[in-house]
Amino acid sequence: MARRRAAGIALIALGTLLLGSAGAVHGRALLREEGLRRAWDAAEARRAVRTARAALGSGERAAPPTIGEPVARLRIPRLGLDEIVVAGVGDDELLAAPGHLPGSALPGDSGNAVLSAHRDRHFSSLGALRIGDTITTETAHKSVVWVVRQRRVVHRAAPALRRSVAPTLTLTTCWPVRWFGPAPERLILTAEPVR
Amino acid sequence: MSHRSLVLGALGAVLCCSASLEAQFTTFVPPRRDTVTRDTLAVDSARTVTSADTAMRQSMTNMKAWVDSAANVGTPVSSRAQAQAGGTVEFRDGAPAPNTATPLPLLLLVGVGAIGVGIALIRGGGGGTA
Repeated sequence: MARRRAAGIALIALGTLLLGSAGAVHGRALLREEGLRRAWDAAEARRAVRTARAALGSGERAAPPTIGEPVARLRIPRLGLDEIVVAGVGDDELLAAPGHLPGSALPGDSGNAVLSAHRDRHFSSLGALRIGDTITTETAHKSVVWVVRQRRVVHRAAPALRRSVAPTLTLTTCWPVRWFGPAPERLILTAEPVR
Repeated sequence: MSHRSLVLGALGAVLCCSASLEAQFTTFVPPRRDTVTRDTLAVDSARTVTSADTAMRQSMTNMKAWVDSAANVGTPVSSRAQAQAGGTVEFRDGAPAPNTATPLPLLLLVGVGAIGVGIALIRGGGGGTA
Protein backbone atom coordinates (compact mmCIF):
# COMPACT_ATOMS: atom_id res chain seq x y z
CA MET A 1 0.00 0.00 0.00
CA ALA A 2 2.80 2.34 0.91
CA ARG A 3 4.51 1.40 -2.33
CA ARG A 4 1.41 2.39 -4.34
CA ARG A 5 1.26 5.68 -2.54
CA ALA A 6 4.93 6.34 -3.17
CA ALA A 7 4.49 5.49 -6.85
CA GLY A 8 1.49 7.80 -7.02
CA ILE A 9 3.40 10.67 -5.46
CA ALA A 10 6.32 10.06 -7.83
CA LEU A 11 4.00 10.11 -10.84
CA ILE A 12 2.32 13.30 -9.69
CA ALA A 13 5.74 14.90 -9.21
CA LEU A 14 6.82 13.76 -12.67
CA GLY A 15 3.63 15.02 -14.25
CA THR A 16 3.92 18.36 -12.51
CA LEU A 17 7.51 18.65 -13.71
CA LEU A 18 6.51 17.89 -17.31
CA LEU A 19 3.56 20.29 -17.21
CA GLY A 20 5.73 22.94 -15.64
CA SER A 21 8.47 22.66 -18.23
CA ALA A 22 5.99 22.62 -21.12
CA GLY A 23 4.19 25.59 -19.60
CA ALA A 24 7.46 27.46 -19.19
CA VAL A 25 8.38 26.89 -22.84
CA HIS A 26 4.90 27.95 -23.94
CA GLY A 27 4.97 31.04 -21.73
CA ARG A 28 8.39 32.02 -23.03
CA ALA A 29 7.09 31.62 -26.58
CA LEU A 30 4.10 33.86 -25.83
CA LEU A 31 6.35 36.52 -24.37
CA ARG A 32 8.61 36.30 -27.39
CA GLU A 33 5.59 36.58 -29.70
CA GLU A 34 4.47 39.71 -27.93
CA GLY A 35 7.98 41.10 -28.16
CA LEU A 36 8.02 40.41 -31.89
CA ARG A 37 4.79 42.35 -32.35
CA ARG A 38 6.25 45.31 -30.50
CA ALA A 39 9.45 45.05 -32.55
CA TRP A 40 7.40 44.97 -35.74
CA ASP A 41 5.51 48.11 -34.72
CA ALA A 42 8.80 49.83 -33.94
CA ALA A 43 10.21 48.71 -37.28
CA GLU A 44 7.16 50.14 -39.04
CA ALA A 45 7.81 53.48 -37.41
CA ARG A 46 11.44 53.35 -38.51
CA ARG A 47 10.31 52.44 -42.01
CA ALA A 48 8.10 55.49 -42.14
CA VAL A 49 11.10 57.65 -41.28
CA ARG A 50 13.23 55.83 -43.85
CA THR A 51 10.57 56.30 -46.52
CA ALA A 52 10.44 59.99 -45.75
CA ARG A 53 14.23 60.21 -45.99
CA ALA A 54 14.21 58.31 -49.26
CA ALA A 55 11.66 60.75 -50.60
CA LEU A 56 14.09 63.50 -49.71
CA GLY A 57 16.84 61.77 -51.68
CA SER A 58 18.92 60.17 -48.93
CA GLY A 59 17.88 56.58 -49.52
CA GLU A 60 19.57 53.80 -47.54
CA ARG A 61 19.59 50.07 -48.20
CA ALA A 62 18.07 47.83 -45.56
CA ALA A 63 20.46 45.32 -44.01
CA PRO A 64 19.61 41.62 -44.44
CA PRO A 65 17.52 40.34 -41.53
CA THR A 66 19.27 38.60 -38.68
CA ILE A 67 17.93 35.44 -37.04
CA GLY A 68 15.16 36.25 -34.59
CA GLU A 69 14.31 39.59 -36.14
CA PRO A 70 10.77 40.26 -37.41
CA VAL A 71 10.83 40.36 -41.20
CA ALA A 72 7.22 40.36 -42.38
CA ARG A 73 3.59 40.24 -41.46
CA LEU A 74 1.48 37.36 -42.69
CA ARG A 75 -2.29 37.48 -43.00
CA ILE A 76 -4.54 34.66 -44.16
CA PRO A 77 -8.15 35.88 -44.04
CA ARG A 78 -9.73 32.44 -44.44
CA LEU A 79 -7.91 31.15 -41.35
CA GLY A 80 -8.17 34.39 -39.40
CA LEU A 81 -4.41 34.29 -39.13
CA ASP A 82 -2.42 37.47 -38.54
CA GLU A 83 1.15 36.80 -37.46
CA ILE A 84 4.52 38.47 -37.45
CA VAL A 85 7.09 36.40 -39.32
CA VAL A 86 10.51 36.00 -37.74
CA ALA A 87 13.81 35.35 -39.52
CA GLY A 88 14.96 31.76 -38.99
CA VAL A 89 13.28 28.40 -38.59
CA GLY A 90 15.05 27.11 -35.49
CA ASP A 91 13.19 25.84 -32.44
CA ASP A 92 13.32 29.21 -30.68
CA GLU A 93 11.99 31.09 -33.69
CA LEU A 94 9.20 28.67 -34.57
CA LEU A 95 7.93 28.55 -31.00
CA ALA A 96 7.41 32.30 -31.14
CA ALA A 97 6.20 32.85 -34.69
CA PRO A 98 6.12 31.56 -38.25
CA GLY A 99 9.69 31.56 -39.54
CA HIS A 100 11.24 32.83 -42.74
CA LEU A 101 13.74 30.31 -44.13
CA PRO A 102 17.11 32.09 -44.33
CA GLY A 103 18.47 32.26 -47.85
CA SER A 104 15.04 32.35 -49.43
CA ALA A 105 13.61 35.55 -50.87
CA LEU A 106 11.62 37.95 -48.76
CA PRO A 107 7.90 37.85 -49.62
CA GLY A 108 7.33 40.02 -52.67
CA ASP A 109 10.95 39.99 -53.86
CA SER A 110 11.85 37.95 -56.91
CA GLY A 111 12.47 34.37 -55.90
CA ASN A 112 10.86 31.83 -53.62
CA ALA A 113 9.95 33.08 -50.15
CA VAL A 114 9.57 30.16 -47.76
CA LEU A 115 7.60 30.56 -44.52
CA SER A 116 7.24 27.69 -42.08
CA ALA A 117 5.45 27.26 -38.76
CA HIS A 118 4.61 24.55 -36.25
CA ARG A 119 1.58 22.42 -37.01
CA ASP A 120 0.45 22.70 -33.40
CA ARG A 121 0.88 26.47 -33.16
CA HIS A 122 0.62 29.13 -35.82
CA PHE A 123 -0.12 26.85 -38.78
CA SER A 124 -2.46 24.52 -36.91
CA SER A 125 -5.24 25.37 -39.36
CA LEU A 126 -3.13 25.56 -42.51
CA GLY A 127 -4.69 22.32 -43.72
CA ALA A 128 -7.94 24.23 -44.28
CA LEU A 129 -6.34 26.53 -46.86
CA ARG A 130 -7.43 25.72 -50.41
CA ILE A 131 -6.35 26.60 -53.90
CA GLY A 132 -7.68 30.05 -54.76
CA ASP A 133 -7.50 31.39 -51.20
CA THR A 134 -5.67 34.64 -50.69
CA ILE A 135 -2.73 35.49 -48.48
CA THR A 136 -1.33 38.92 -47.71
CA THR A 137 2.27 39.61 -46.82
CA GLU A 138 3.80 42.84 -45.76
CA THR A 139 7.54 43.48 -45.58
CA ALA A 140 9.61 46.57 -45.01
CA HIS A 141 9.17 47.73 -48.57
CA LYS A 142 6.38 45.73 -50.13
CA SER A 143 2.84 44.61 -49.48
CA VAL A 144 1.67 41.76 -51.68
CA VAL A 145 -1.57 39.84 -52.07
CA TRP A 146 -1.03 36.24 -53.05
CA VAL A 147 -3.33 33.54 -54.33
CA VAL A 148 -2.74 29.87 -53.51
CA ARG A 149 -1.96 27.98 -56.73
CA GLN A 150 -0.70 24.62 -55.51
CA ARG A 151 -1.29 22.39 -52.51
CA ARG A 152 0.68 19.19 -52.05
CA VAL A 153 1.78 16.76 -49.37
CA VAL A 154 5.27 15.36 -49.74
CA HIS A 155 7.57 13.10 -47.76
CA ARG A 156 9.60 15.00 -45.18
CA ALA A 157 12.87 14.26 -47.01
CA ALA A 158 11.52 15.13 -50.45
CA PRO A 159 13.20 18.06 -52.22
CA ALA A 160 10.15 20.25 -51.84
CA LEU A 161 11.71 23.69 -51.95
CA ARG A 162 12.70 25.00 -55.35
CA ARG A 163 14.42 28.13 -56.46
CA SER A 164 12.32 30.38 -58.69
CA VAL A 165 12.86 33.58 -60.58
CA ALA A 166 9.35 34.97 -60.29
CA PRO A 167 8.06 36.04 -56.87
CA THR A 168 6.65 32.95 -55.16
CA LEU A 169 5.40 32.33 -51.67
CA THR A 170 5.72 28.87 -50.12
CA LEU A 171 4.08 27.97 -46.81
CA THR A 172 5.11 24.74 -45.14
CA THR A 173 4.17 22.82 -42.03
CA CYS A 174 4.27 19.24 -40.84
CA TRP A 175 1.67 16.79 -42.06
CA PRO A 176 -0.64 15.43 -40.86
CA VAL A 177 -1.68 18.61 -39.06
CA ARG A 178 -2.42 17.28 -35.59
CA TRP A 179 -1.19 17.75 -32.07
CA PHE A 180 0.45 14.41 -31.43
CA GLY A 181 2.30 11.70 -33.25
CA PRO A 182 4.98 11.54 -35.88
CA ALA A 183 5.12 13.91 -38.81
CA PRO A 184 6.40 11.88 -41.72
CA GLU A 185 5.20 14.34 -44.35
CA ARG A 186 5.06 18.05 -45.10
CA LEU A 187 2.18 20.19 -46.34
CA ILE A 188 3.44 22.58 -49.00
CA LEU A 189 1.32 25.46 -50.26
CA THR A 190 2.58 27.57 -53.12
CA ALA A 191 1.14 30.99 -53.95
CA GLU A 192 1.69 33.55 -56.66
CA PRO A 193 1.15 37.28 -56.43
CA VAL A 194 -2.17 38.58 -57.66
CA ARG A 195 -1.60 40.40 -60.95
CA MET B 1 79.95 62.76 23.32
CA SER B 2 83.39 61.25 23.76
CA HIS B 3 81.96 57.89 22.87
CA ARG B 4 80.54 59.26 19.69
CA SER B 5 83.83 60.82 18.70
CA LEU B 6 85.57 57.51 19.35
CA VAL B 7 83.20 55.68 17.05
CA LEU B 8 83.53 58.30 14.32
CA GLY B 9 87.32 58.20 14.65
CA ALA B 10 87.42 54.41 14.38
CA LEU B 11 85.18 54.49 11.32
CA GLY B 12 87.37 57.11 9.67
CA ALA B 13 90.51 55.10 10.40
CA VAL B 14 89.04 51.94 8.92
CA LEU B 15 87.95 53.77 5.77
CA CYS B 16 91.30 55.47 5.33
CA CYS B 17 93.34 52.33 5.91
CA SER B 18 91.15 50.05 3.87
CA ALA B 19 92.57 51.32 0.57
CA SER B 20 96.17 50.83 1.63
CA LEU B 21 95.45 47.42 3.14
CA GLU B 22 93.36 46.44 0.07
CA ALA B 23 90.61 45.37 2.38
CA GLN B 24 87.27 44.47 0.83
CA PHE B 25 83.93 45.25 2.31
CA THR B 26 81.57 42.64 1.11
CA THR B 27 78.01 41.86 1.77
CA PHE B 28 75.73 38.97 0.97
CA VAL B 29 74.18 39.35 -2.41
CA PRO B 30 71.53 36.68 -3.04
CA PRO B 31 71.86 35.01 -6.45
CA ARG B 32 69.35 36.15 -9.05
CA ARG B 33 66.46 33.87 -9.54
CA ASP B 34 66.88 31.86 -12.66
CA THR B 35 63.98 33.46 -14.51
CA VAL B 36 65.51 32.87 -17.89
CA THR B 37 65.50 29.13 -17.41
CA ARG B 38 61.95 29.14 -16.10
CA ASP B 39 60.77 31.34 -18.99
CA THR B 40 62.49 29.06 -21.42
CA LEU B 41 60.77 26.08 -19.87
CA ALA B 42 57.39 27.83 -20.12
CA VAL B 43 57.99 28.70 -23.76
CA ASP B 44 59.05 25.15 -24.51
CA SER B 45 55.96 23.83 -22.77
CA ALA B 46 53.71 26.22 -24.70
CA ARG B 47 55.36 25.20 -27.95
CA THR B 48 54.74 21.56 -27.14
CA VAL B 49 51.05 22.23 -26.42
CA THR B 50 50.68 24.34 -29.56
CA SER B 51 52.25 21.71 -31.73
CA ALA B 52 49.98 19.08 -30.18
CA ASP B 53 46.93 21.29 -30.80
CA THR B 54 48.02 21.89 -34.37
CA ALA B 55 48.48 18.19 -34.93
CA MET B 56 45.03 17.52 -33.42
CA ARG B 57 43.44 20.24 -35.54
CA GLN B 58 45.13 18.91 -38.63
CA SER B 59 43.93 15.44 -37.78
CA MET B 60 40.36 16.66 -37.22
CA THR B 61 40.42 18.68 -40.45
CA ASN B 62 41.56 15.59 -42.29
CA MET B 63 38.81 13.55 -40.65
CA LYS B 64 36.18 16.12 -41.67
CA ALA B 65 37.53 16.19 -45.23
CA TRP B 66 37.52 12.40 -45.26
CA VAL B 67 33.91 12.24 -44.03
CA ASP B 68 32.84 14.86 -46.56
CA SER B 69 34.57 13.06 -49.38
CA ALA B 70 33.12 9.72 -48.26
CA ALA B 71 29.65 11.25 -48.26
CA ASN B 72 30.43 12.87 -51.61
CA VAL B 73 29.00 16.24 -50.63
CA GLY B 74 30.25 19.76 -50.48
CA THR B 75 27.77 21.04 -47.92
CA PRO B 76 28.84 21.64 -44.33
CA VAL B 77 28.50 18.64 -42.05
CA SER B 78 26.22 20.45 -39.58
CA SER B 79 23.64 21.59 -42.13
CA ARG B 80 23.74 18.19 -43.80
CA ALA B 81 23.05 16.45 -40.51
CA GLN B 82 20.20 18.84 -39.80
CA ALA B 83 18.78 18.30 -43.27
CA GLN B 84 18.96 14.54 -42.77
CA ALA B 85 17.02 14.95 -39.55
CA GLY B 86 14.37 16.91 -41.43
CA GLY B 87 15.64 20.14 -39.97
CA THR B 88 16.36 22.33 -42.97
CA VAL B 89 17.60 25.63 -41.62
CA GLU B 90 18.68 27.37 -44.81
CA PHE B 91 17.17 27.62 -48.25
CA ARG B 92 18.75 25.83 -51.16
CA ASP B 93 17.34 24.45 -54.35
CA GLY B 94 15.88 21.02 -53.65
CA ALA B 95 15.97 21.31 -49.87
CA PRO B 96 13.31 19.48 -47.85
CA ALA B 97 10.83 21.58 -45.91
CA PRO B 98 11.83 22.47 -42.33
CA ASN B 99 10.78 20.27 -39.44
CA THR B 100 7.79 21.90 -37.77
CA ALA B 101 6.64 19.29 -35.26
CA THR B 102 7.22 19.90 -31.55
CA PRO B 103 7.17 17.52 -28.60
CA LEU B 104 5.35 20.14 -26.50
CA PRO B 105 1.79 18.72 -26.83
CA LEU B 106 3.16 15.24 -26.09
CA LEU B 107 4.84 16.56 -22.95
CA LEU B 108 1.54 18.10 -21.84
CA LEU B 109 -0.33 14.85 -22.51
CA VAL B 110 2.22 12.71 -20.67
CA GLY B 111 2.25 15.19 -17.78
CA VAL B 112 -1.52 15.18 -17.40
CA GLY B 113 -1.57 11.41 -17.73
CA ALA B 114 1.10 10.94 -15.07
CA ILE B 115 -0.74 13.19 -12.65
CA GLY B 116 -4.00 11.36 -13.33
CA VAL B 117 -2.46 7.94 -12.78
CA GLY B 118 -0.67 9.20 -9.69
CA ILE B 119 -3.90 10.50 -8.15
CA ALA B 120 -5.66 7.23 -9.01
CA LEU B 121 -2.90 5.23 -7.32
CA ILE B 122 -3.05 7.33 -4.16
CA ARG B 123 -6.85 7.23 -4.00
CA GLY B 124 -6.87 3.51 -4.68
CA GLY B 125 -4.37 2.98 -1.87
CA GLY B 126 -6.39 5.19 0.48
CA GLY B 127 -9.63 3.38 -0.37
CA GLY B 128 -8.06 0.03 0.52
CA THR B 129 -7.11 1.15 3.99
CA ALA B 130 -10.40 2.88 4.77
